[in-house]
Amino acid sequence: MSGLTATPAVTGGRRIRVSILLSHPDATVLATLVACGVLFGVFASGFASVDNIRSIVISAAVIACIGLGENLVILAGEIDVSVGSILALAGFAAGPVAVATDNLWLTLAVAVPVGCAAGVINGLIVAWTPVPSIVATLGTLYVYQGIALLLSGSHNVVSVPASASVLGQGSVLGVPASALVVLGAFAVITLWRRNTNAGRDLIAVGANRRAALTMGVRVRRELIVAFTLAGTLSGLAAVMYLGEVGGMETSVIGTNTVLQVIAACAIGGTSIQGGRGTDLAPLTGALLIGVITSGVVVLGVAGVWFQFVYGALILLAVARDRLWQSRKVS
Amino acid sequence: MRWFPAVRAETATKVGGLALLLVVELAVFTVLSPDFLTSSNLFNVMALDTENGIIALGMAIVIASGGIDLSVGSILALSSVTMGYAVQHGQPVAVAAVVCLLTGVVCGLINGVLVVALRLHPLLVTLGTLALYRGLALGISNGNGFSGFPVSFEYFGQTYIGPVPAQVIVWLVLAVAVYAVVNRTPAGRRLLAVGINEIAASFAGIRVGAVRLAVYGSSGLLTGVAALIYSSRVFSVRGDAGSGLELLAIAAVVVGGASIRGGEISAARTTLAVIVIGVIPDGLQLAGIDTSWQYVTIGFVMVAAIVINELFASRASALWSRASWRRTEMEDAWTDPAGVA
Repeated sequence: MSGLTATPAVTGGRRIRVSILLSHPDATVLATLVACGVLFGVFASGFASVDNIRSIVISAAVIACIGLGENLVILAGEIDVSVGSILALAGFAAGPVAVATDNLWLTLAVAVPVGCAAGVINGLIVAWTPVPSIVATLGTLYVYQGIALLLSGSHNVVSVPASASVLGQGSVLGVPASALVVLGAFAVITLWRRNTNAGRDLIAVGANRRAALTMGVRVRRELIVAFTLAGTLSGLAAVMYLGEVGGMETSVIGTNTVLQVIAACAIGGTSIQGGRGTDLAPLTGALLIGVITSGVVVLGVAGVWFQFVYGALILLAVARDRLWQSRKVS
Repeated sequence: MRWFPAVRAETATKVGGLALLLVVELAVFTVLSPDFLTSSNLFNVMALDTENGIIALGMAIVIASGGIDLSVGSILALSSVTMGYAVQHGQPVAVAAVVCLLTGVVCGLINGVLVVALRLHPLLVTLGTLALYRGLALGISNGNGFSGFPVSFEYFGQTYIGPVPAQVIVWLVLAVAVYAVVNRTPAGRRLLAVGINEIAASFAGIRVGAVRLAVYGSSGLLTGVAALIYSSRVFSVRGDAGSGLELLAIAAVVVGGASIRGGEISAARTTLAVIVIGVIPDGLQLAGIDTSWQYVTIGFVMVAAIVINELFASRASALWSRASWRRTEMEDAWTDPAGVA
């Protein structure tokens, strides 16, 4: 117990180092991730194979990519429930282009601006009207979902050719390309949040909006930027998804994606009330979901019970920090 | 708070705005199709909307308390699947119906316990139980549908009283009940007090935890009622039933003009909003328009309703409109940076 609690500085150098490590906001989720990985690696044969880890990373990349943007929105004290619809919208806009031209850059040139535009619309509504973000994006969720369905003409996008699928299936030196793109986006966002005024101010908007306004933070601009990044990254994720799955089904036009994305941010440790969290949260959260999902499958849990285990683990992961805090207090 | 004239004016104008929207919709669909404005079609629409309407009443209570419940679609699935399981194992329909309602209550109470005891954000709790209950429903039903109900099971969702589907009457009775409890009882006062300011409510001696438990429990119970009616209407149960219902219910509450931040509830407006949203798919279908348009239309009607609400609300009583907090907060901070006023 004492080794895990925050120990006073006088009790010795080694303990201080442990407590500093544990007090880092990413520590518990990383520890959980490692623990889950080791447990599944030991007890589920086939889990630790290169192929399996690769598929975990690839499937987590789409959620992590959208999550990077959603995380910014949550940090700013808002929420965007339309990202799943933006994924579908960008996918159905860019899917036919990918199939027709087999050109990755043209696909990106359609998907990313579509996502960006959708994000800008969300941001403008949230910043300039009194409508709360969960309500505004619930409205745009239905609008984008409807436009996606109209674009699809109720037909799935199928058999995306190889060159346009690079982001989902290709790899550089054995590392999946989608993971590299997500890491690149993560690096850019981290640099932005640490080294620019606008980036540093984002967290103030979420933590205490009145104080931020009083200090001269341009709250509206911060909100628009956050929602725009969420939309843009959802557009990028659509290209990854097209590559990974090789198409886009009309059944994607649902609410599953956004729920997973929000779960990833929360599991990663970002406070759903805003103002507290790290940029790494959606990445670790999405990976943890991916590891658990894959581990449960490899362990041979019957397909129908899978979602039950998944839900229980989400609850545990979300409750983790709370249980942790109450232990510290006692 | 009916003694505040400003609030009453706001309520009246919000109901008026929704009614106006409904009249416009009815007019448009009547022009597009002669079959739309017939009593049989309208009763049919109401019957189809009943489940969503009842769930939206529960959602309105949850939102009024300052919470949210994303798990209602999964509770609907789990309640109906456990009912199917009971019938499959030789229980009479009446027992199975009680099982269905009990499942709903228990699921709601579990949400409440997690929110209260672990002090977790309800969005996260119900996000987890959304997957949990859905998983249980799929697991218990083994992924299969079940439709081997006796004919007497039709009673709950296919009975007609004259030309009126019985479940519509159940819906309206429940709406009146919610109105009465919220507006005429101390429990309703406590609910709104918790939604407006949880800390102030606890200082006023209200047991906030108990109120929250009751709130999620009633949402679960109402979802159980909806599950019973739904299963009887489609005469089968499936583990994947009701997905996406949570967003439709939240949309109805919001279109009904309640603040998503809590402290406001109107059973009448929520019910009206369910109908405003519910006639869209039917109207489009009768008009022969591709059903792909229904989401876009629902989205635009939602945005229109919210904007109308905001306009009416801010005109009628800017002071009492909690929904306009962001605008007033920003204006306050700009005109009065020191926060003196």
